[in-house]
Amino acid sequence: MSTVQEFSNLLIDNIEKVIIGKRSSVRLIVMGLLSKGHILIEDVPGVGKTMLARSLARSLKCSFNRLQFTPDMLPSDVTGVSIFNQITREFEFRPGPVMSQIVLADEINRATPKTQSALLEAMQEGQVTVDGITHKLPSPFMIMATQNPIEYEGTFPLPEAQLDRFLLRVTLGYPGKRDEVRVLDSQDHHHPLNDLGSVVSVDELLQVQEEVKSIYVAPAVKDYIVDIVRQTRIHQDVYLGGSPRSSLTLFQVGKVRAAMEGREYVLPDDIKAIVEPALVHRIIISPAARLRDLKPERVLEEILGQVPVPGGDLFKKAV
Amino acid sequence: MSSIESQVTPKTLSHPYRWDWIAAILLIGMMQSLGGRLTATEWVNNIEITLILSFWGCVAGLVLGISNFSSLGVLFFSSVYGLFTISRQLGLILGSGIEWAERLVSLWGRYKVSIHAIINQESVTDPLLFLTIVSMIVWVVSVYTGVALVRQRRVWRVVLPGAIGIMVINTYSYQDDISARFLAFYIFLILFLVARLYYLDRREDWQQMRISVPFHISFDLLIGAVLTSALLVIVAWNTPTAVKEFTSAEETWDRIITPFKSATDRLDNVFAALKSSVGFVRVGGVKGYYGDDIQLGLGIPQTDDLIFTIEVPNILTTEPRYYWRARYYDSYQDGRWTNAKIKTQMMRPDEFDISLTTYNAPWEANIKVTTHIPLSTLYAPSQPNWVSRPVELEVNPTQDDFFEIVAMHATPPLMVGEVYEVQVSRSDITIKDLREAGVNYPVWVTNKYLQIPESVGERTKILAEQITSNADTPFDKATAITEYLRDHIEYLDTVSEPPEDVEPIEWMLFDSQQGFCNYYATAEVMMLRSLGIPARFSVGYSQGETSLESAERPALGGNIGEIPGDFMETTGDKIVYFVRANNLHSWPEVFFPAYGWIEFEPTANQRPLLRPLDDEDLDLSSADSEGQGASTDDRFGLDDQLFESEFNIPEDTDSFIGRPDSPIYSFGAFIVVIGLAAVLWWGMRKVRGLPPISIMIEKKLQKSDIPAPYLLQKWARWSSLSAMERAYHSINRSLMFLGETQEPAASPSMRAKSLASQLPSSSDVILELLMEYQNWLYGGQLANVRLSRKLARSIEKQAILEKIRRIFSRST
Repeated sequence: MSTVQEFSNLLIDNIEKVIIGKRSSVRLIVMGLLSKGHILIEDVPGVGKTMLARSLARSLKCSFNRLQFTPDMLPSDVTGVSIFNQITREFEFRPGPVMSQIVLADEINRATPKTQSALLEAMQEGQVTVDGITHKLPSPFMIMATQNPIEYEGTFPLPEAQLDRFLLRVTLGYPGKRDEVRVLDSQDHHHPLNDLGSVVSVDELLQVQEEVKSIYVAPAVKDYIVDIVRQTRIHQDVYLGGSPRSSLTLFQVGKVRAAMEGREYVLPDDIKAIVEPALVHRIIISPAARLRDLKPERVLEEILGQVPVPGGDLFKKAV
Repeated sequence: MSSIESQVTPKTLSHPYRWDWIAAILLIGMMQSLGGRLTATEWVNNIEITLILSFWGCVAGLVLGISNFSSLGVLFFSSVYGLFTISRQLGLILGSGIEWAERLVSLWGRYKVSIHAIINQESVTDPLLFLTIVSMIVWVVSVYTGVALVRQRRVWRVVLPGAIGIMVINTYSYQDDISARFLAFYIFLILFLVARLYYLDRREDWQQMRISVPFHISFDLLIGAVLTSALLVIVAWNTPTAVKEFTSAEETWDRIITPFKSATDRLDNVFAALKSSVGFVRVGGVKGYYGDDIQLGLGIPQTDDLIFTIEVPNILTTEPRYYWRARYYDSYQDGRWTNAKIKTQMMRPDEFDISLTTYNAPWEANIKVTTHIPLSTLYAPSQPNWVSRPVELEVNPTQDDFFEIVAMHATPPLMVGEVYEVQVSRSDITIKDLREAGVNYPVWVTNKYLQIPESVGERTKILAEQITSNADTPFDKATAITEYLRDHIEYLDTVSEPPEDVEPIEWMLFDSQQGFCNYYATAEVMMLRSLGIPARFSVGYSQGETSLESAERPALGGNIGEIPGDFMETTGDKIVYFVRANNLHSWPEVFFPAYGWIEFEPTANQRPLLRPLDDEDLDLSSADSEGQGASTDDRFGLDDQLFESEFNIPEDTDSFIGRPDSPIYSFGAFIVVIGLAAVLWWGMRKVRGLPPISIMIEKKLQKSDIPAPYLLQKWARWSSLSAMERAYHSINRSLMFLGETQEPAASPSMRAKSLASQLPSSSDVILELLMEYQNWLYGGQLANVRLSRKLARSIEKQAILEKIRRIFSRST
């Protein structure tokens, strides 16, 4: 059993003690973590987004901060400010909430674009610049931003260019009936998060992140990835298809998924499994299709059903 | 077919040719030395054709190299031209003046015999197969080097094939000075050629750099190259060779070849013609040569080996049986027959101009003989007029400038499997005709054919007169003597030696009263001559059995190898006689004015020779063409019992492929040709990286805008699949077979899982195959093709069983 598989199983099992019945979502978040990416969680309030982030941080023994975005937030509220120290007579940097290893950016679409972009710069560059001084962010660094898909009033929807920077988009959704009952049971006396210990170390995480890079991707699978992304660009109901970064995402996350399965190479099935979380926030449905209430998830499903898998049906030539 | 070559490689375009006439002549010289080396081995007769082949092959290679043909075109034309040239050269060795169709038939016959021998693990005595293989190799080498000189930029491709050839020849036929001389010459030419090509290369560069080279410098370089090459060769040859190293090398070689001993033993059979070579191939080794004398001898029991098969047109329905005569003799002395005053004359089939004495013989027929042993003396039924081979004729002058053929010796002799044709004149002679022939003998007959040695005395003459006392005509007398000999002399395969001082014939007639055909025939000839009836002694083979009889008539037992062929009624237009060694025979021939020489059959173990009584008989028998044997037997008074007791069919013990002329050989040859083509194609694919044939057809169709048929598309796709893909396809095929269609977007694992749910019993196997396939295709790991194939077979088997199970469960 590979260490990646061991690592991710430990982590997921641990988180599952708190977040009950959401194994696939948890898996996706772990995939994002191992791919050094950031996650966009899109869901209604109260399904456990914060708990998920906190239990992840706890399991890793990472520093954790939560940012609740409001329209009056300023970029310095995110990154931190330099304050004049009277005693030393120097400007001193007071780190903002973003300067921790796992950051939960709640309701990111409520902040003004200016504030949003400050966060996104941090996400992209792994550093923040305050008053001309660049401060490196800790490692590992992962932002889990949440969006409420219901309430749009008074929000500033993230532009596509910025959505593209999130590696995966994850939904949690309501738990099943039994799971919800178990949630009640588990919180009978106290919150299970308080019992949650760390199961893996940050060092191990960094090591595992390196290990994932050695996973082999066959030319046929690379073709398959590109075929899928190209198909999103020519699909009639899609206004804007996936970028090359989408292909790259499929490539990286595919490797992680393969490693988590204990495999040394990526299968088309790995790609199939991650197409939706990796692409759904990156494509824009054409206005006409939106009128028909066509969801991007549906389009991706259709594309997956069309693009032939290399090596699947040997008598059909690839597109 | 455009010159793709030159478009693809622009370098060839800028320097189209890196050779000149000197290089070409050097190459031709090199190939000639290869051919010359082969000729010097004297492995087989006619090996000198390799000289001619190497020359024309080289020229053809150079011309094809200059041409715009693609490599495929070059291959095609060189093969076609090679096939033509080689068969032409091989055909020519059969001698001049033969028709080409016949040459090819003969060559083909010889190949069949050789292949038959190889299959049966017998020795191939015919050098033809070897000669053909050598010719083909020489042709390929010389064409290849010719093309390579023009098109390739690597010298070793030009010089190496021939060098290897000479080395191999030297290994097998080491003749001290010859080997050295040819090799030295070849190496000299190599060095010279290399120098020349190097110069040409430089010259191109010089031209590009705009350096002008005066003519005299290139000439100086040429001379320099010649001298250097010569010097190198001389120095190399005079360097003392380390003998020790050679011996150790020999030991190593022995160690290497020991494991291949059994294979080489078998190969040795193929080339057995070489080992026995020098003697066998020449005339002396060929059997069936009758010289100008023959002893009566003591007799040797003969085997039933097939000597030749003879195809006779079925036009002479009432003809008495055939005697395949090799030659006749006219003079007898002390148990030895000879010929007096024989002339020999060379004859070619296309210039067969000799005036032959002719008799009343209205039928002309062409008789086709296929040899089963090497033949020198050709066999023919009486009155041959023409033969399709160059022959040395032995002739007897008759009168004015007319001749009779004594014997025909084929030059060169015929090898096993060859075919020759003889044109003969025949007639339907009746007893009435012969009785009325009279005694008006020409002078040349009485001069020669009434000779009796003094040792054959009065006794014989008196006996002859006694026997023929009731007979009036020569025919009746001959018949009476024949009957007497058949009745009174006991047939024996071998006889004991007659006493020293006794004339063998008299001893046989009066004392031992035993003998075989030579004695019977000689006795009859002597007795007839003593009565003034001209007669002579002929040798050859009796008729043999026919294909028709052995097919239709049941074996009746009996011990004498002759079948009634007289008055045979057949429906086909050809009769084939199989003549075996034990048909060896001799018989008397009696002269009848106007009818010529007529055979009689005094030998007791042969069936009596019956002739139709008169023309009525002739008409009857031809009218009664549906009639059965019994009616004809009755008419000619043939004793039924005799008929049956002497009627014997040798059992055909040969296997299906036993006879070289069975259709399986043609079929086998066809298969071999297809196989060779396939091997050639496969080799080309490997060398040239050509796609499979199906894909080539598909592409051709696409180019000409014809939609490829579905099956062809599938075939093309299939042939482009790798072994692992083919193994994996068993999953798809099984799914289809079980009626489950899968989207193209379904990944292999989805398909496998789907099939595993259909075939739960073999889900392990399916998943194992899936793992193998995924490891190979997506994991970039080495494939375990053998295991995968095994798994694939098992999956398909399970799928079929499942399908059958479903059909039955549905119906019940």
